Amino acid sequence: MTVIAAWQRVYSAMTRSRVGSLALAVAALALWFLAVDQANFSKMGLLGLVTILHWPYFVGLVLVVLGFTNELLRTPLRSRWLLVFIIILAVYIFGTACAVEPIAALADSYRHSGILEYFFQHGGPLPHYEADFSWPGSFSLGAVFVGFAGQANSLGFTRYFSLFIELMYLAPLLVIARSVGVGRRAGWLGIALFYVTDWIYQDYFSPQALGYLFLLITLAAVLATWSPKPHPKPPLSGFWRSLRLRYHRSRAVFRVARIEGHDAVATGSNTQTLAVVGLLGLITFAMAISHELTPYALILMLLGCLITRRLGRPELVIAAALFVVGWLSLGATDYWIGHLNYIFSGFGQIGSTLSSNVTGRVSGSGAHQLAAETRILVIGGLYLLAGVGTLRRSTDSRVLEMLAGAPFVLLVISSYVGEGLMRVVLYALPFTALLAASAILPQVSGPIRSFVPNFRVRRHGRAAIWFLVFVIVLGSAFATTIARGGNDAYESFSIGELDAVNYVDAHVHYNDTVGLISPYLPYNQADVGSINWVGLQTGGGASLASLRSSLIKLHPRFIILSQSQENWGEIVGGYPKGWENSIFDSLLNRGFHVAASWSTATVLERNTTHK
Amino acid sequence: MSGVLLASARSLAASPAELVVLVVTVVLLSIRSWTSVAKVALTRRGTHLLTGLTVLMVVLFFLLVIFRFRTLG
Repeated sequence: MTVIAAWQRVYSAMTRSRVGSLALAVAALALWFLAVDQANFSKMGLLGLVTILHWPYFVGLVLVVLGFTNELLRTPLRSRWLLVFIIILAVYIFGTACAVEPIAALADSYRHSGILEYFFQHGGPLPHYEADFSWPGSFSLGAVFVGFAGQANSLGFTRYFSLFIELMYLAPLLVIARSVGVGRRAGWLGIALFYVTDWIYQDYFSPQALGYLFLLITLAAVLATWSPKPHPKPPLSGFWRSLRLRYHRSRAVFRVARIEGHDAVATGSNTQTLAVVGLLGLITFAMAISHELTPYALILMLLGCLITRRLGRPELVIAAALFVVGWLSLGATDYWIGHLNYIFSGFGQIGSTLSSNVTGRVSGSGAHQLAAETRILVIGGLYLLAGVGTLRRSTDSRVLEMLAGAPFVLLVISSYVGEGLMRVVLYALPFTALLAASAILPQVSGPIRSFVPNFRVRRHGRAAIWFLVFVIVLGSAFATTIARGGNDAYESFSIGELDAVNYVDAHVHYNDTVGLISPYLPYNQADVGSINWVGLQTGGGASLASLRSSLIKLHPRFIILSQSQENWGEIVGGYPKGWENSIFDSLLNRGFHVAASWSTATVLERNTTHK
Repeated sequence: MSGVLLASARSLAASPAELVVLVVTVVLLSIRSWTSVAKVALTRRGTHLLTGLTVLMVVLFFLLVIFRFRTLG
């Protein structure tokens, strides 16, 4: 009893304090700077980012979550303070790696920078080179920004891009949370859950990061512009009557009036609605020419909005489909001409798609497996909570459930090079997070009743909810810190590795081949198409002798050996510690010499006598 | 001109027919959206004509896409 009473006093003090939030926010920010200052990138272990983070990071994270939970459950709700804590949370989750790692992570960031530079310099795509050139929208937009900023390339934008774009997501997320039919507190909690479970790392400098922003903006605008037309019948009481009502409402989904959008009403004036439709048409067109997967998810989600009475204009869905298919057919011909199986080979193969997306990723070293299992745990936990949220919430439309489920149809169409499930989970993440928030803070009123009866929360119940929110948000934030940065040992790079690539760029001749054992280097960020970069392995499995002979068979002019590739070999490839040294020694005996070296990278050049 | 386009499947697939149908469909969708939102008074026959034409164009567009895929893919 005394423990409960003490807890009540602490809880009461925390949720009523006026100065507590300011102190927590300032302390959390100060600890973040300290954590970044203490982290030593060169000491990173096989589990990635988390191995170089010390106590200030974790204590700071506790303070942010404490402040957020207090603000979430206090009366009256203070939106500004909740926003402050969400932003600090985003800085912790997405800004730490950017600040600690000396240059941008992920080789694809550099590849995209190279493509963007090509657009900037040549004013158009490079034909017959790679798929990204067939969806030029985001690169063209990026080239405009590069020119506007007076830069020669986009490398300056890449390092903090993850944090920047995640904060950009916040605006549409706020609109979605307010319009989607959950309570205000559940909305804020859903946004926090979105950030603390987003380990998926598609927010690096890429077309999909921009495409995701467009997707969120479009859905936010749709949800804010149309609301469900009220049902003519009042809700019935009693189990069988309620079941009958649910049956009749489900049947209404297949009526022509629903598909024509007559079951949704616009919340603004006619002019506003027309303006929104026009703008969304433009955004869907921009998406269609920018990314090959995101627009298909948008079509499914818009269709979901139409079916659940949250979209009043079916023309938007049709226009989006026309733009997407039209661009694939006419604009991306270079991608599919002569090999249409690229597009349709994964159709209907859900089993192999799930296998390659889940079980195929739990492999490699113990650290790699731990990171992969943590990712599964975080998303599994979120979906479990979302299921409970679906049962507990009352609402005026099941749009949230529809938006959380609609992207999964994409898995029937394509495995998307083994990443389909991750992408689909990401598209659904804001809505899954809001459903998960509804498990803890469900809306108790609405024409569509909850599946399970709700119970009244009393004083002890509120303290229990506080504890539950704190534990779930903090646990997810810790887990996501491990899961998100779990590959950083080989996907983030040192200055020496970038210098090695720049050295090769400066000395290589047109059409020379540059050999890499694995494609984990900051390469291809300049002169795209003029250098033949070849990375041998992404999954490991080959013996060191066969790796060496494969490298030599490429007849490369340069070979780069580096710390990130060494780490990849240990973490994913299953090679022993120091395995690169044996490759290095044997290459020296087979016609290569050291052209340049740094503490984390060595450039080997073929001797001129060995042609 | 039409004779040249229809001379072979490849020339038809490479022709601007698909683009033209796409643009026409988008225009029809815009008109349909505008008349509906702005509550422009159309006769019942006019509404049906607009919807029917839009559906026809959408179907034609997807047929042309399939044709292009089969011919060039």
